[in-house]
Amino acid sequence: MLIHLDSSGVADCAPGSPTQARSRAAIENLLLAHFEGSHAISLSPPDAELLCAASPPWSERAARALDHIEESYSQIAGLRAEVPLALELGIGADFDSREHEVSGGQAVRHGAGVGARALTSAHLNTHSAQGGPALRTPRGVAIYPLPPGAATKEQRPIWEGRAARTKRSEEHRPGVGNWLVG
Amino acid sequence: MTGSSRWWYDVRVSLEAFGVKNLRCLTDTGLVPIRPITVLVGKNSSGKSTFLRAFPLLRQSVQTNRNSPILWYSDDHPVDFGSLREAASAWLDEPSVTFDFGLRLPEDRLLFNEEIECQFGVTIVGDEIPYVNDYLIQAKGHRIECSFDPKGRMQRFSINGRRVALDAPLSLGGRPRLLPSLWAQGTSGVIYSSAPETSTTGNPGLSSDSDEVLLPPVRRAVKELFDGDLGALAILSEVMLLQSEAEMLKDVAQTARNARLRKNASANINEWEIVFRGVARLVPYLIQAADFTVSRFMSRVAYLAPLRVSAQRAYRVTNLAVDEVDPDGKNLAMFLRSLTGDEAQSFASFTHEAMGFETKVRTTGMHAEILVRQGESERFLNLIDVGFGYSEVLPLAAVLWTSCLRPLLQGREPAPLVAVEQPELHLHPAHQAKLARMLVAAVTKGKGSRILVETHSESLINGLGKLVYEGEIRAEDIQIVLFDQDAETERTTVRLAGYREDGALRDWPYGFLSPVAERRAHRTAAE
Repeated sequence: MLIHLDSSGVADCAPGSPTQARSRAAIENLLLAHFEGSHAISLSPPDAELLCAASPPWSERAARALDHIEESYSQIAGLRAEVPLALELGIGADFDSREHEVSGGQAVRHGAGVGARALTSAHLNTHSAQGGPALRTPRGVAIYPLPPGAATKEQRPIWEGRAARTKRSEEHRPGVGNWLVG
Repeated sequence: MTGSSRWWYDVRVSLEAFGVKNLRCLTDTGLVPIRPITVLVGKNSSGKSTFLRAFPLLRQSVQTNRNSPILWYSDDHPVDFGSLREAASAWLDEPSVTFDFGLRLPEDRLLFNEEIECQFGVTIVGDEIPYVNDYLIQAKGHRIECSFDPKGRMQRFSINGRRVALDAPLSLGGRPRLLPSLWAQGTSGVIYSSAPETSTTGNPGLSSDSDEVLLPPVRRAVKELFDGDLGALAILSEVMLLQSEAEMLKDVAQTARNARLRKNASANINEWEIVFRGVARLVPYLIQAADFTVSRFMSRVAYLAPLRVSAQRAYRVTNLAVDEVDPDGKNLAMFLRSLTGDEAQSFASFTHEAMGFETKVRTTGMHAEILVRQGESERFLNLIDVGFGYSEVLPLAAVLWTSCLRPLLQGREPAPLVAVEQPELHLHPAHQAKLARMLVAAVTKGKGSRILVETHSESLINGLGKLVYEGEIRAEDIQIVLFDQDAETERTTVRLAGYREDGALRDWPYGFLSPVAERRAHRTAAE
């Protein structure tokens, strides 16, 4: 899955944010997913720079993933404009799990709605070839971490809102849960 | 010619696109737009270097008096294609190479009443002394084809598919720089002369004796269709400018009305015949205009080869005034030593802003050292002591500054194009991204110079995208050209890619630079 992390999510892990720790843990997990090649994470150049300068430093793997995301901005942004469906994560009224059009395709904005803050999880499944996880959108579109057309009816969407893990680790945690917001 | 015109050279209005056919593995690149920054990417041996080196090849050609259009090899020049037979694609029975130019030609009182776009293709064939075999010219909706025998005698002349009947033979002649025009007199051969190196306006004007052959048919057509004052008829024959067919027809009618000429209703011809003959008459001048524009452009192309000479601790001082950095950067120390105080300061600012270092030259007795200061450090170190990357990037910085920014200080002409092979050599990816900033600074702060870069660096490509995102350069000012060679046929296809307004790559084949893809290709080839 190609996941774009919106500036609202990045801002929420800045010092001074009451929910900094939870958002930071979520972003760390996303970066680890990028490091492992489970998902491609997209950031705008200023957001990538902000995260690069974040303190305390990210885990080594997450930092390397962040470097790669920053260096590969043009390629990842290009991919984002070309995939039929992408996921955008952020905080605020726009992130209502609805689809919207972006250049070249559709994106689902998912995150915390009005009044809620903090990216509380970043747990995206890495096993997707068969029966992998999917995100059910309001319009019934299943988002699989697969190219469009690769998904089959047998695949069981497991976007069920399970509890998030926020444990900081050098590994992205596959298997259960998904991207959750609190 | 009934008059003459003077050609004004403008670095920003000349060569807009370029292509080659049958040059090594490049079957047909199509016309590749030459933007302020054009980036050539692809695997080794995919033809991107061949495409880039066509520019210094044409430069060394138009800088030399010669007996054939292209100087494929010379001891004194940096590019070596061997000969036409070696340069032409291996699958051809008879060697043949075509150069295609997408030109923007300026207004001229004898040819065009406005700036026009013109596609000009020239095909070179032959063995011992290669010669111009044909031209294909497309301008204002007219398609003009000419072909020649080895002695330059015109064999075929057609406009929009219709053959032009000639009263007398025409042949290639004169003293062109690259593209010989049509002449009525003699077939004594073409002398290809070198283009003048200086002066923006020192142009000999367009001239040919081809009017002896091509003007009478226009006059006959005019006389047959119109009756009236002979002077007015002559004017009508000679005033036509190259425009679209519809515009030319309208002009003929308008000029006839103004001259109060009567239309001869019983004539066998119509206005279209006058236009057809009028276009034919303008072809020799159109070729001269293209020759002037292409040769002026090519004669000042700057080139930096992929292999730069190693830095030395000291260089023997000579008192030569060095105006230009060699393609391999070997005269770099003497070049830096030749800079005036203002120039040295300007060059230091350029390298400091773009790459975070600056240089100076220290002369001791008969020897000079290149010194480098990194970042905000106060200490200058010898170039040889600061890492190999600096000695690689310094010639590039010098070429860019000389070609693009130095003219701002001195009122000289900027180089129309700087062709650079593998600027990222020996640089860490982080510094490769900085290279992007240096390239962008050179084109945005310069006076219209363009840069053609051949690279394997993803960091450079991503770095350019980030500068688009930051608004340092417009997306449409960068062209990416992808060279993709078929492993079986060894023929290369050329595709265009670029950036969106937010710096995202568009039409980019993901994995194009991937080593995995490279390994797979090798494995497939081995199987």
